[in-house]
Amino acid sequence: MKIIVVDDEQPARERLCRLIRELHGYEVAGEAANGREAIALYTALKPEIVLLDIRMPVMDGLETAQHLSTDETPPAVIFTTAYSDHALEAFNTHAVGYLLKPVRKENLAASLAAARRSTRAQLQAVNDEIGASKARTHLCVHIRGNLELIPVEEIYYFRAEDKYVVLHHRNGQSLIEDSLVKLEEEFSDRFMRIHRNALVAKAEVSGLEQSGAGSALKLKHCEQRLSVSRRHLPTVRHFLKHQSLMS
Amino acid sequence: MMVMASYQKASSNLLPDFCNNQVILLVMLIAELLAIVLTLHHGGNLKDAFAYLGRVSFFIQSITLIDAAILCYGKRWFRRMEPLPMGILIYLLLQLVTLSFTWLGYTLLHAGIPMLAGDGITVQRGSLGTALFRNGCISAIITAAVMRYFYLHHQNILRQRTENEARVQALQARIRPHFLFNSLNTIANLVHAQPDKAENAIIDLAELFRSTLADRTLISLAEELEVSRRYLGMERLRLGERLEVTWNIPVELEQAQLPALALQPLIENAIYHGIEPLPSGGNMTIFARKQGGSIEIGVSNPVSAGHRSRHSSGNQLAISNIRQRLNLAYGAMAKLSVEEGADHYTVTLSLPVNGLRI
Repeated sequence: MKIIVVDDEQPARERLCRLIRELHGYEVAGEAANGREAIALYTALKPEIVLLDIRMPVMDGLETAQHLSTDETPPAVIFTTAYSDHALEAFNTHAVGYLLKPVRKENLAASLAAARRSTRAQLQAVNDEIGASKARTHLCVHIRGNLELIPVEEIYYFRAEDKYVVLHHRNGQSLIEDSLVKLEEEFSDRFMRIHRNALVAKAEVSGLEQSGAGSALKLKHCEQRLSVSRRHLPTVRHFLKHQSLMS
Repeated sequence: MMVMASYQKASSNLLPDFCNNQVILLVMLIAELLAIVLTLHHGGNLKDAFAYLGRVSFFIQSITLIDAAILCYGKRWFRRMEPLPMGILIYLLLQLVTLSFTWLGYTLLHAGIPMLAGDGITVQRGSLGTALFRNGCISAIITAAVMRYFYLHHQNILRQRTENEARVQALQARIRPHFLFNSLNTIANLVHAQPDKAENAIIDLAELFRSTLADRTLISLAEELEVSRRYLGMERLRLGERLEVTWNIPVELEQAQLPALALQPLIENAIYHGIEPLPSGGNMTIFARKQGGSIEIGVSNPVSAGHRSRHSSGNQLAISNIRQRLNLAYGAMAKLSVEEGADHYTVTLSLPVNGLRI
């Protein structure tokens, strides 16, 4: 079975790799130092098991697990952590593996043997309990069966089209399955609703334009004008006014 | 959070529970002592004195029990109020009870029913006005004294509780579990790969804990720096090249005295909240300088924009702990200031030179 080991501390990775090598039937396919690297590595190697540290820079273990769980055949996730108060109870109740560092070899062997593919619901439940309602740092899109991460700060706007939401970002556009309502809730400090079908990054807004039919929003990095609905016009005006006062 | 919660609980206990038998017994005892004092002052022969005591006791105890009943049934409303308005309201209510009783006693006495009358305290002699004035004054003084007693008692309990909490907090701030377990994990790995390094790491950890558990209040900056170096040594093993440290400490300041473990927790914070969340780490600066009549010692670390929000809760514990200890050692003369720049976070301790040996 292929395993990838994810931890920001080199000695911690080294120790886990050594322990895994001493067990039979497992192979360390690769190591990653944070969540973003882990997703890239996962996409390339498709391991069956991911050992994930919880506290990491760039993207923490909980968010990483959440993204991994959106894969068609998600890997088994085993969290490793040095210390996390009462948070561990959540893992127990949702049948996701966890190990306390320093990891005992027998415990690692037992966790690996018991590792099952995690379901999205399990990981989501753990995340709800521990990560509280923290906004994600990246969004995960599926391109030809692969997971690809888009940093939230590179997103220009979301637009709902038919069943999907189209995400327009620095490197193009992608489809995601989250609903606009949910996205608006999660990223309320970063994005603003301008129309029933559109959420725009506040940092991208450059101005308002009157066109024949109504008002349209100009963006810093997009040629495209986005129409602002009459209902959301006051919010947008207020935002622009506030912004010009700030600068 | 824990501190806040128990503090609120304590302040709602400012008013003792007057539904409680012991408390009622205590105030009745105080009331009876007052009755005895008044009787002694009244003089007269023994037989008269006992009769007098009986009447005065009846009068005073009635007032006391009505007071207790008001405080017992009204505590739900009183406890919702701020302490000061609550105190004033209760004080006025109790005076009102005394004056009402005096008026009632006076009226009954003049209607030919002497039972309820406080009698010689005031009532028989003089007009209703004098009676109200004299009883009002006695009541005002005694109530104030009793309320003061309960207030001091409450303060005492509160102080004890705060001291206990501070002690627990100090322990938690000194030994951060995250650091302990991560260090042990690092050592567990080193034992195999580099036994010599592992041995040194264990010795460093031992020395670190020894100074953490030591019961010294003031140490020299040189000693504090030694502890900090041991600590940074441990973190370096774990974080590798992600951790860079710049020392900016003039040699002549090394003999300055400061409260033990005033600096090391700041360094630990800087790593936990500043260096660790940065994927490629960063450079933290540890500095000391003389500034007028004080010495400034501090730590500055880079922060990543995305992790700014995390910088609060855990950090506050260590900071408020150090602030408390500075306050104990120097009073208002020492200062802990936090400066949050766009990409840097700096904590500076400012300690008075006076009283410090340099």
